[in-house]
Amino acid sequence: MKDDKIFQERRSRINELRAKNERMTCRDRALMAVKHQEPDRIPIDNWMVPEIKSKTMEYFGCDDYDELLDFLGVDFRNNYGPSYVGQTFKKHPDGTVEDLWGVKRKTVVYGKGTPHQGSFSEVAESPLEKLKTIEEIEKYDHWASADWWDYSKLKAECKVYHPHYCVINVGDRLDRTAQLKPIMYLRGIQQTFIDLALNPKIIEAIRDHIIQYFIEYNHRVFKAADGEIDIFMMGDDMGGQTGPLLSLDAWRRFFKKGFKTYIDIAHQYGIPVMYHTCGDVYKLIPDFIECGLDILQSLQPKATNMDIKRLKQEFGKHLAFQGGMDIQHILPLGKPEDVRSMVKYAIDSAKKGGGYIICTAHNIQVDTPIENVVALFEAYHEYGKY
Amino acid sequence: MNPIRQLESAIIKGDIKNINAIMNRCLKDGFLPSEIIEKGVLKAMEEVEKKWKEYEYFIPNVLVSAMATKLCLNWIYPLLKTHGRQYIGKAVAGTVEGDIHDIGKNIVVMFMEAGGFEVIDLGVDVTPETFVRTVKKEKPHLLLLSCLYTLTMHAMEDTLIALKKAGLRGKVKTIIGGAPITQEFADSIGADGFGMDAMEGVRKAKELLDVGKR
Repeated sequence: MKDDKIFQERRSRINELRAKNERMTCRDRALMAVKHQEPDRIPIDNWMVPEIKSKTMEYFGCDDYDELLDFLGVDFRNNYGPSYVGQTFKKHPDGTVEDLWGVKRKTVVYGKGTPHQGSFSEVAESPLEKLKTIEEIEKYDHWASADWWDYSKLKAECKVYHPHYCVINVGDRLDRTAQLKPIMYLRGIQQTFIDLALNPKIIEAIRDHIIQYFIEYNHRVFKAADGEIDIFMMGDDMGGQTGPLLSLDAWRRFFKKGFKTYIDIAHQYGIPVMYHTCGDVYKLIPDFIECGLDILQSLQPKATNMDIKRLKQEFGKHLAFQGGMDIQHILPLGKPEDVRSMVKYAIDSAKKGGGYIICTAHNIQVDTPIENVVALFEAYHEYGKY
Repeated sequence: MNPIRQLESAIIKGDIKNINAIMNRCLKDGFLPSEIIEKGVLKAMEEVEKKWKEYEYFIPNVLVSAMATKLCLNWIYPLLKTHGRQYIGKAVAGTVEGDIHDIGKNIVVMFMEAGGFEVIDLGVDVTPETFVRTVKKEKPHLLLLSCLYTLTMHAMEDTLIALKKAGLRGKVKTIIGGAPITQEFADSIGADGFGMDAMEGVRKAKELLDVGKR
């Protein structure tokens, strides 16, 4: 941590508020909230793209990301799962690289030549897209295997954060426990939507391979972690900006069983489950609760029907929430006072009785001004006290 | 059943397997291409839009209905041309630079075609230079820009700036759309229109070209 006066001044507001508000460890605070109890302050989680991590570290004078998380009062530490020891991901002459599922990926650069330049790894080619029959799909030779991972260091990697921090097993963004997302990677987004309407058996065939993989993988992860994972996070985008991507009936038909199976496995090991989905999933929430979900993550506020006040009133007794901070408009385009109002509104709406972890609805993106990032964390601490 | 009603029902259900047979019957029974469009295709599209707005239809349903519509139009447009009918306008569409998401754009293209427009689809990750070059060459009435990320919204602005620099800004109407787009953003970058979804985009396109008044 850099001691220059300028950094000390920049850090002073958050330091003051934390000294005043905090009376327990991060882990106790987080787990109390998940159990719908009120801790000393609302627990804080953090999602940032690498460029914003660097920018924020630089602004506050932090030497590494752990130091930044510590200073910001982030209560959670991510565990990305076991180490990959399978075959080397195949590189192709066109620059694409195959992922875990044999899906060719390429790096797509956005904002070329601007201060907000960055890149994402996107699907370049979906290997099952052109296949017509279930027999062809069954012959695919690159289904992921739980044997491709070394689970031996997982426990130690989680334990290093205990007893102080709350450890979330998040997996990797592209390989996180899911159903629809890997289908889309393998089959292509558009073809997946067509299949959902016209070729349900193809969806089911691909889905079953994916579920089998994640069942085996997660059993091994939880066994290996031996009690050191505090929260299990899965993620599968089911919402669009103005409603679910598919009907409730379709969700029930294709995905409810797998969703519940994933939750049941974590619960067998005594681990609460957080589920990430972008977009408006309001109509699916009663079914999520019925399947035993503990925490719903994202709460994208600019999506329809995802107002945190309403969600808390309607579902807050049965479901905890994580997220709610808008990365689509307020953080990239608003002013610091807009950021503060957004934080206050969410906290006023969802604080009562615990059950709320504050965080952005997705990664803070590279186009967000640093003043807004600072305002966000200062406001978390200003309004978060119970 | 009257084949026009059959066609309407097949489009609503996204029954793409039967479209060709139904279209064959429509033409065999002597229905004019313009009749098929007005009494079958457009009526079906109105119903699909209604079901979408009422949360009865979701992306899979809308997508297959749009595909069914496109299959009909593959039959109808060549016939319309021989009957001397023209497209109601020409559009160039694409997902802007740095963004490779195309499902929204693809649905817009299908609905625009179904709505009577000729559309040149430039695909995804389209640079401002490519848009400018195509607008110069094709002289469309409309330029349709799509994006998914907030990060690539900037590329929409860059595209409009590039159009202006090339002296094309007054010569083509621009409509933007995509998950993060709002009317406010469209106004701030000087786009002529914004569509919350594909159906609204088509309506906006017709409005901007004064279709109906011509």
